[in-house]
Amino acid sequence: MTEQHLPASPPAIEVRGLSKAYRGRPALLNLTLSLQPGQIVGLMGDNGSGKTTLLKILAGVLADWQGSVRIAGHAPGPQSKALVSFLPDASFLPDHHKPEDSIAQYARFHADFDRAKAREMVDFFGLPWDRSLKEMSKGMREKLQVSLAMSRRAHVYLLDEPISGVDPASRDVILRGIISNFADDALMFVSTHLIQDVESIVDSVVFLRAGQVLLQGAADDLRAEHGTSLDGLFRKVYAA
Amino acid sequence: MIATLFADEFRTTRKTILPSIGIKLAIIVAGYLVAALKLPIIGGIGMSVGIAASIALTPAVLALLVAHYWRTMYGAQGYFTMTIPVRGRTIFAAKVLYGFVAAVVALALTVGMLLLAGIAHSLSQGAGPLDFLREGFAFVEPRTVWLAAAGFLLFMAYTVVSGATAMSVGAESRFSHLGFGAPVIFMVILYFAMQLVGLAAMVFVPFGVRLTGPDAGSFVAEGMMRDLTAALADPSAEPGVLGLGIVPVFVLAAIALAWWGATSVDRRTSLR
Repeated sequence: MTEQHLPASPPAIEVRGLSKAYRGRPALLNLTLSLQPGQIVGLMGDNGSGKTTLLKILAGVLADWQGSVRIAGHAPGPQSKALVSFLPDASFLPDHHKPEDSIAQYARFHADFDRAKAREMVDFFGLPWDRSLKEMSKGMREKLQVSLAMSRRAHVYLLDEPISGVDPASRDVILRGIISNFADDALMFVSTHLIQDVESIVDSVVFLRAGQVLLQGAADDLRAEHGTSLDGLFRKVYAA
Repeated sequence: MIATLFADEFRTTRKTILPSIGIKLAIIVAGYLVAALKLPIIGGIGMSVGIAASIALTPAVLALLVAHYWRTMYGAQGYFTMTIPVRGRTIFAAKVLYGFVAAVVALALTVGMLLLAGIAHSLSQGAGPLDFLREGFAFVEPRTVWLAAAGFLLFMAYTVVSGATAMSVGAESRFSHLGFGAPVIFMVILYFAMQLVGLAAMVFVPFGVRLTGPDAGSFVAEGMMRDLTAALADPSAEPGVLGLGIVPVFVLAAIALAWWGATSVDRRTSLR
């Protein structure tokens, strides 16, 4: 899924000099990043490193930043939102929704949403059709949200901590659901601090620290260069 | 897309608004029934409860709409709303339009229920059902009714727009650390500012309605300045003109607030 991109292929995400502060406290500091389509990129960093802030800006739900941001060829806005599927680290569906209600809601507002695929994913995850979200566990809710986000035929998928707070078995199922429903020509940018769990699926990684890119590269290259797993590299880098 | 958004507003609010209205209507009808039948002890209370519930209908619907707006725009559900591929001002327009329609429907129900109170009162007095209302309307000119209706509609539009704008501006990143306190502070400041500006407009804007004399009820190119000056000289002087300068002020304020709110959602949305 990685490598061999045509040189002319425009980056799916291009960020230059991006800065964002919350009441004077910097969350992102002059961040520059360019990601090509056709890969799964892990966005990793310690708490407060700016992962969620970066994803929110890319998704177009966070304003008042400085710098240049292009995602799927557009500045964050209606055009980019039509091409970007964002899975936030929040339970964003109404409690009274049953899976079919949420599928219908997505279908109403997203032209690229594939109802049949969403139903397949709900079945794949073994979610109950007759239960509302209020009656579901955190892991089940997360699986439903993943089903919806991954059932869009998007150019870019932004997933913010999709496996945090769920048990290890469910993490594997969620990750399987994610990668099996991901188009080869799209970009997936997934933030997590559970590096061990995503180590096997990411093509490349971006390590953030204090709002800046600390390290970036292809997963295999980094493993070979540092002689350790991404998880080991993360521990080494962030312990320093 | 605005039609889809509008329809979705109804779809997502009906489960809270319709039961709330239904419960209140049941209380109102039961109260009036008790009053009309002159049931001992609770007969008098029934009328009071019915009227209170009728008056509470519109504020209750507005409160539910406020909670819905905040939850779906700036709560966790905002992550769905704000990733819909439309401009923020389109979302704002759909929500404000729906809020206005819902508020007007609630207001119409309130008026209807208050008329029903009149019928219940007539029946409790042993008169014909419409006697009390007929007597009341005999002293009211149709023009006054239309003016009052227009005034209420304008007030509803202003209320919905200002509430939505207060929440959207209050949720901007520069104020978001205050949580829901920011919109509350915005509304308090706006309230006092509008009181001052409205009062000044009633006095200084040369547009009013004559209250006394043979041409009472007619519009005049005059504000309340002369009456105010006369009242300062003689506190017992009766006002001759009611300044209507407040009307264009509220219209302009509603337009300005709508623009501000739409721009805020469009350019400065920051979800926490």
